[in-house]
Amino acid sequence: MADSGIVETHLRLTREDAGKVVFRGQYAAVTELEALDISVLGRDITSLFAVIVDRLHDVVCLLGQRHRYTIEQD
Amino acid sequence: MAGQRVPITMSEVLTLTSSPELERKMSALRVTLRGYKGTSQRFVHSIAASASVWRAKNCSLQTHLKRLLGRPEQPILKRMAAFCYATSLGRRSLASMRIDGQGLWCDEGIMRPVMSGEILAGNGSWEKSEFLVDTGADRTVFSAATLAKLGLQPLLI
Repeated sequence: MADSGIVETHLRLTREDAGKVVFRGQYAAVTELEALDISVLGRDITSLFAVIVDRLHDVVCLLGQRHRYTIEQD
Repeated sequence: MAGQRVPITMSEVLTLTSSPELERKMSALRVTLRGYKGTSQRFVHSIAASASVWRAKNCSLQTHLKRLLGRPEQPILKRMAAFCYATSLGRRSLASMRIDGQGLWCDEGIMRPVMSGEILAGNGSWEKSEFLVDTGADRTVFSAATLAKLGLQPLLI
């Protein structure tokens, strides 16, 4: 169990049209360097989107609002 | 006098018909001939009243006149449904919402899905940071290195 705390701040991501999406909230933060080598985007944000992680085609994206995805068969 | 039952014969009725007192007496007395059931004075009044104001109460006439003459100008009320998010997406508009990430290939030969983002630091600047997209993580967590760059004092739990 790593020591952690809560920080209240804004997190923003960049859309494909260069617009910004800002998420304001309280986020956890670990205080031990060895505990986490990269920050993690968790369900509090990803649940607002459809998450696509396609390793085969090297696609990673979050889709929401007007964007949808379809599954097709050749 | 109203509501009082007064016995009267048919000949008296015929006599009253030609009499100028008919209207006054008929309004004052409640006349019930033998073999007929009396109508309450209250209903007689209401029937007369509704008959005299039938134009005002006639709904189909009102509708017909409105259709014929056209409706008066009325302001159009526009109502919108409001949506609310727990996080600060705040206003829901039908905007484009595609956020691209990238696959980060690690030493183990594994591609990790990563999003580039920014976090508001304590000094008001935006610090760049990489985020591993982890659908299994319950919540977003900043690494210690990121926390150090932000200069924010965490509330220890």
